[in-house]
Amino acid sequence: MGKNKKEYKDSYFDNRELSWLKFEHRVLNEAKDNNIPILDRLKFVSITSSNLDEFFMVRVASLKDMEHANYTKKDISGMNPLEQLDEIAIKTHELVDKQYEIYGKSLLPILLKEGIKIVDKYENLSRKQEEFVDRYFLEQVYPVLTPMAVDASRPFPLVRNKTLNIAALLKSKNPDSKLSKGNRENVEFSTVQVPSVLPRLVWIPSEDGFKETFILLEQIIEKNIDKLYLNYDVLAAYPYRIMRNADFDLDEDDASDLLKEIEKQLAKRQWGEVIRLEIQRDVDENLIKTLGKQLNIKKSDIYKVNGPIDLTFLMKLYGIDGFDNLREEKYLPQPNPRIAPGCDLFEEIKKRDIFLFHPYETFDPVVDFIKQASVDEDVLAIKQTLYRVSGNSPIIAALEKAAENGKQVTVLVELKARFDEENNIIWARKLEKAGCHVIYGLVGLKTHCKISLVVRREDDGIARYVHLGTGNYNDSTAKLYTDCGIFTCTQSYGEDATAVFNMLSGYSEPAKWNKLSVAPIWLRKKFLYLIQREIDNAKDGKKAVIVAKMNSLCDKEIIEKLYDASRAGVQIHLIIRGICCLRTGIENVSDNIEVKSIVGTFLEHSRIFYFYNNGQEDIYMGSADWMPRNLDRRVEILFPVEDDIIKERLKHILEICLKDNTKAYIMKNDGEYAHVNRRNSDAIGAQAKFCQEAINASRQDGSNISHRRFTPIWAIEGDMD
Amino acid sequence: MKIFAALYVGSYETALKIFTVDRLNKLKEVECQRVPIEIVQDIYYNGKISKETISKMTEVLKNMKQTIDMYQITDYKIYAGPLVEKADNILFVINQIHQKTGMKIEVLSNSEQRFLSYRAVASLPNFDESVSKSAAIIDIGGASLQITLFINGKVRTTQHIGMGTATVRESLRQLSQFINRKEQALQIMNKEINVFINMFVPEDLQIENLIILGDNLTSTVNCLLGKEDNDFIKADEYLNVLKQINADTFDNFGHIPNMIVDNNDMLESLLLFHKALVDNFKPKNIFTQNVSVNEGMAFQYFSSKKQLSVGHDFEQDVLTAAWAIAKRYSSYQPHLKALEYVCSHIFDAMKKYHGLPKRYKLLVRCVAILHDCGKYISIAQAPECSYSIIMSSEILGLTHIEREMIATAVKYASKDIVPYENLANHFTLEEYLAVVQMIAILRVANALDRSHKQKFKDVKMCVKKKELLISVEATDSFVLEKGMFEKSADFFENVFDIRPVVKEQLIL
Repeated sequence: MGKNKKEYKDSYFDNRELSWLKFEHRVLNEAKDNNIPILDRLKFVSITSSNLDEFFMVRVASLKDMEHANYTKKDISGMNPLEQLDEIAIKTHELVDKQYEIYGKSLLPILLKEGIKIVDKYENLSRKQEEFVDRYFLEQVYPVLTPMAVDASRPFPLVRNKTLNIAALLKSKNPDSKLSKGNRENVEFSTVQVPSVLPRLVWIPSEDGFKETFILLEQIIEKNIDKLYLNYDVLAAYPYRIMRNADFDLDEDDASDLLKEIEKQLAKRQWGEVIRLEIQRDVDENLIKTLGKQLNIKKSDIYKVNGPIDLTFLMKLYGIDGFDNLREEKYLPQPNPRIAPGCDLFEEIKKRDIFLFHPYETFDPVVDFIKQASVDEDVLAIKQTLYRVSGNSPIIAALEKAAENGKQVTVLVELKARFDEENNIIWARKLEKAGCHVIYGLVGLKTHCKISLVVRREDDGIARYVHLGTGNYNDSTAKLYTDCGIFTCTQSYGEDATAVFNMLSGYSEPAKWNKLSVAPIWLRKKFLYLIQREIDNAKDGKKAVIVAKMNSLCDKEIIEKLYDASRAGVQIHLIIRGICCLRTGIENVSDNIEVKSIVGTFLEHSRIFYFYNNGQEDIYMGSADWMPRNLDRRVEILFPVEDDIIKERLKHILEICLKDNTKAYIMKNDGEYAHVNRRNSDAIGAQAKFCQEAINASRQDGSNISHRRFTPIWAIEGDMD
Repeated sequence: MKIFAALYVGSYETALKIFTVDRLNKLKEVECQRVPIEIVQDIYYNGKISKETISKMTEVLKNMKQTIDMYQITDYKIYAGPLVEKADNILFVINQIHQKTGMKIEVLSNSEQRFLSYRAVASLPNFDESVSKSAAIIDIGGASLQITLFINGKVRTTQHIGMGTATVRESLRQLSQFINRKEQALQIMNKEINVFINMFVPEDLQIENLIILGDNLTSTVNCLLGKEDNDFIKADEYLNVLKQINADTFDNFGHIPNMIVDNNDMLESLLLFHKALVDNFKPKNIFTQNVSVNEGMAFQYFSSKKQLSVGHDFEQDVLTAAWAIAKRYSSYQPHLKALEYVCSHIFDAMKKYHGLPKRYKLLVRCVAILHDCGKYISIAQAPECSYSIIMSSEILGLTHIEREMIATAVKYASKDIVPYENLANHFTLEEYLAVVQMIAILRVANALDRSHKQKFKDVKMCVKKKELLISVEATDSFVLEKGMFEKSADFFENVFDIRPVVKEQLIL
């Protein structure tokens, strides 16, 4: 059973890009949800917009490369690159149409009702507003504009990736002038970039009882475009935006200095092939023809949108001051019940492993872990991986401080973390300057694991404190992404953590692994082994269950193993937020598999794996999804959870996620997703429940945590005046 | 809390291990770094260590130094295995590494290196029990194989066979065009191991335990059998696992997650070694012990700091090995016993006056035991032959310099010692003087048993007024001994400024 891989037809798998687009639909559905406050709904539209940008720059770009190279190898679902691109185009057009429909028809009217107006056409401005806008243009915008004309002597300029531009068709007022070069008949083309240094959403004075009014920057420019072309009549002017191929391949073997190579490649990103053109639906046909020709773009790659281009500006709107009533109440991450503010973390970890659950519980202990280590005189070394860090990372600051305090600090900064490369180069240099030993990742592999190690000299020997997590060391995203982690000083974990860093720094091959399973060499085997063990148990007539929560599942070998497991009778529950190439409900193949996806306020990001193991339940957490890139091309860590209390917590988390009937979707037999049928059961929202549980836990354990409050002795009751 | 770092540059791997001693007085490994560096290949093919290897070694050692610094370790040792001595450019290599890393490599002789591994294994709690009947300790190195035989808990011999995993691997590569290359390699191994067995293992003895020191294969075997180090494995079971393991299928251990199969290209030769050893020794059980030179270095360090006490008596091993050599070369044992006895007594009585460390008593006893082993080869050339025998024999537990001191003392036991200048490239002045003192002790002891008839029963000694008074209870006429005694006494007096005087009491 399952030995012959051809046993599973192509149709038993979903294409990963199409599956991703399904996920985007699920995110967009949040924007449709009337139970969600309007500004949050706008935020979801913005998220899908920026996600789509990334999707194009990476995934579509890579398929385009394959198409150009005449690469016809089929994917997991049997589609060649061209077929995939065609299908993606259809589905993306559907998604974008849905986006603008929601924005225009559902969300804008509510915004208006709430007193917020976005002027999408300058023609709709009042006199007073026009004056404001014109003045704003002259004072703020005009000085930074650089219009660029195109003609025989001036080639089509570089239009930068992801920037918003305004294309204009011009006709000379004086065709005989030298400037017009005698071009009497022809219409000229010009383009001007909407400056990214200025805010896209511009506040203007409100009228007619509106509380706030905004106009988009491109509308201000369009309104005043004649001021840029004084000798021309502007026949048409429309904003547009292009997306370029940003998927660069690093030639690491030849790149002696990875840092410089990445900087070089980043510059190239601006020049990649154009793979998407967005333009307003009512655009002038001549203009679009010129643009299409100059940019060398296929018709199916042109997206005519019914509204403003690039809806990511809605994220700014989400953050406007006031209007808290239009936003979901901000959840404040709660203190970890085990960690009182200011407590000695090392002492606490020594008592027992500590479980961390973000963003329900605060990320502060992770930052404090490094902070305390940086000033602890017994600490000898701090070792840490960094994949994506926040803008003003307190972890980086603590690491710098540690190095300044004479600790040996080793930091692996993964320069290849996509779209964070520039950011990471800056951090890497900063850390190096502070005296840290910085490793720029490994050749050919991305270091995605999240591990932090503090080596401490104590009375009874060398102690190692380890933090292992499912999410990045990023205090900003830790407020938005659901992630788990543990602190431990168990010797076997400490030894493995040391081995990981020795491996990463090229110091040494590991002698043995006690607890951790590390990709790319051992992790795939480990997962296959764990699934196989359930299969064997099921075949022996024993109970066999797998529950796995992750971001994406698209690894063929793992999916086939899960199909084998389903056929053997293993009950499989998958909680997969994004891509899932596995299909449920296929008779005699995946009857025993259920796939759920939770899309909520927080981004589901934790990776938890449960195996029943004939009653000896094994639970693991880690940094890896079940994707080929995680299992084969990245350094990832899977770690077992052995503390009974933490195991119970994780079982509870998985249980609640599986019970979610408000934010969860379930994969149907046709591969599409639908909301879970609530029937007559009570509403359970996993994220809401975890928030509440964290609040309750911090209240219950309030006695342990030093919310110090002095009780004054009042003189005489009632004698307060 | 003391931390010690042990660095060992082996023939195909350089390893750093950092140790402390825990509250239960057990050695605890804090960190382990192992990096494959193929010195053996360079030496095997070019007779020297290549530039590339030196550069890699330097880089690796720099990294290791950084780790040592991280732990703020002040006490560390860096040794290289005996193979590197064979590199023509070893002195330059050591110097370059010293300049670039600040670490000075000391090169071990084979017996020193083996002793360190042996020390590590013998310091394990159940060691004495595992060798109590009969056992062979196997230490497979990159360029050689060491077999130490124990019978009734005592070292019978330790022999060094010039064939290791790396050298066998190279042979296998050279034989790669032959289908039966493995069989050919196995035949050579069988032959070498059989020579050892025929010479040293009594015919009627079945080896109880084969103790294999940790290598990449032992951990794989343990992993496959689900055993820990130190669990004993029945020979049949062991051979079955070896059969299961085929070097070609090493990558296919999918069912064992986290199993590390490193230095994969060494495994083929390791497999052959293990098979040949088990086939030939036919032991009842096999033990694997995950210890190496690094652990031995740590045991040595912590014992010297009195932080670790080791139950096993390593000095007894040295004496047993010396006796085994004496027996092998048919020395007259009653005479040797008498000499060992008297030498020990003189050493103790003269303690205040010679100022030699306690360890030198062991050397003096060895000098007594081995002083005429060369007679087996040539009576006329006995001193030179004794010297050669001692220098060519492995005595586990002695450093190279100690062995040379013993051999030199034996060589000049009955003839004039050459001036220091002639031996300055062998010994420091202190070592030379110690050799001379040992000769003086031996000569006096030897004079007391000139007739080889052990005419004395009881010997008492004490130093009084510049005289070493030796009272013996003679069982026979002591005239010969007394007559010949003067010359030895003169030499003794020259050396110590104390004159030995014999007072005999005849017991009839």
